[in-house]
Amino acid sequence: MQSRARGLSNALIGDMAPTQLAGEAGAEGILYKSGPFTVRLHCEHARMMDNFQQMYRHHRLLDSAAHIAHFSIDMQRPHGLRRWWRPQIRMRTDAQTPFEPFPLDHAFPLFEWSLNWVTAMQAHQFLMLHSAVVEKDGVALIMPALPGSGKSTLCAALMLSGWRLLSDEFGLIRPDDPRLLLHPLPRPIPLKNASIQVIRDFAPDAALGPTYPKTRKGDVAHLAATRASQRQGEQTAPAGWFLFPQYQAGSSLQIEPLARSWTFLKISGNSFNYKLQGARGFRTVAQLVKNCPAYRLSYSDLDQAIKQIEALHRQVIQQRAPQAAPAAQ
Amino acid sequence: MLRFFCAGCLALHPPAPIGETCWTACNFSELLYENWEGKYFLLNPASGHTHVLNHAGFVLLQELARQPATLTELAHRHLEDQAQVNLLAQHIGQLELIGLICRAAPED
Repeated sequence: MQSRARGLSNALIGDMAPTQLAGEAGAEGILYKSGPFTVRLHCEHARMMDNFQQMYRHHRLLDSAAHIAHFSIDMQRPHGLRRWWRPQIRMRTDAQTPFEPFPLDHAFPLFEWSLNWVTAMQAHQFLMLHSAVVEKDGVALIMPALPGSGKSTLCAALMLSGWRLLSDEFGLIRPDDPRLLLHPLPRPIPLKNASIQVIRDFAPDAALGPTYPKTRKGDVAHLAATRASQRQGEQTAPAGWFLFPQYQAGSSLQIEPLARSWTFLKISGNSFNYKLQGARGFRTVAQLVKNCPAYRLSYSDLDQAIKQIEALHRQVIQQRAPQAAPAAQ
Repeated sequence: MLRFFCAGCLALHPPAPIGETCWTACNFSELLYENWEGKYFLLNPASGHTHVLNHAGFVLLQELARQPATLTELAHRHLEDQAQVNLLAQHIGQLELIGLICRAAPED
């Protein structure tokens, strides 16, 4: 049978008519490319697709007959009472329903968390660092996600200052890749609570979606990855350095280099699948720690923090230059 | 000289005093390790666990990989102050607990 979605192949999600996109997603489902993965999305909630289209407009659709999905997400409306009274939505993937249903109007946050979950559970062809990753001048900065660190806020501010977003959540590296290349997964950045207003103030034109109040992580609003970030979704970048940010209200800017032993502990302990990778994971994290300097940054002012990060990034690139250049002799 | 077969390391070595356990490193050659700032990070592929040892712990492990030994033998070789033997025994106990060393001979 000819796939209805075949006609959508290679179209950008943002170029579709909203009704057509929602219609396809609710019928056969759509298949799209997201970094190194293909995602199949079937969605029975047309309004969620409006938000999806706003957040993924520069992602490309694929011919569902010609590609195999890495991840399959099915956003379903339950039958019975919950279809009408305090309506809910649930996510199914590979015949599992791993989460309790969400209120229907929180469909998009559920979809995003579901994508994180299936990625973390299945993408073991990569060592997955729980980190934000941004790139500038061809070199990646990795910001591991320590709880409450303000990592997403800083990641969003860097992206809105011209850095390319590789991911807000996953540092994807092929284990034992000597080049230590980070693979992009430029999905929306979920901003939470006070961070939403911080980013609105920082960049009033930022492509923020609606605020979802009182989710399980508080108020959440998604910031779309920039056009360049989404369109370079297959452009890898070598790991350059680590930054462990720490937002502290009212604090002055402080930066300090970190010991390799501390960095190894934090990076390995903060990975989604370090242990599962075994010797390959150990070697890869060890190589990262040997090659990439690490710093801790305490900040309260985003502009100051970004200036400091830019300066450090230039320094890292200069130090890398001799080793990165091909041998002339 | 009389030598005993050591079940853990499959080697012959001198007998330990009665009641003393002979210890050996379980699979030292298979461990992956890195040393930064005096801390040794070891991956034991057999268990999948990563351990952090200080310098003393790593030297002890290396020693037992080179030659199985009892606590008494280790104490004679490495301790100037025999009062520290309890500390050495704690190290041995910890290394056994995390599966990096094992008993090389029956205790009897």
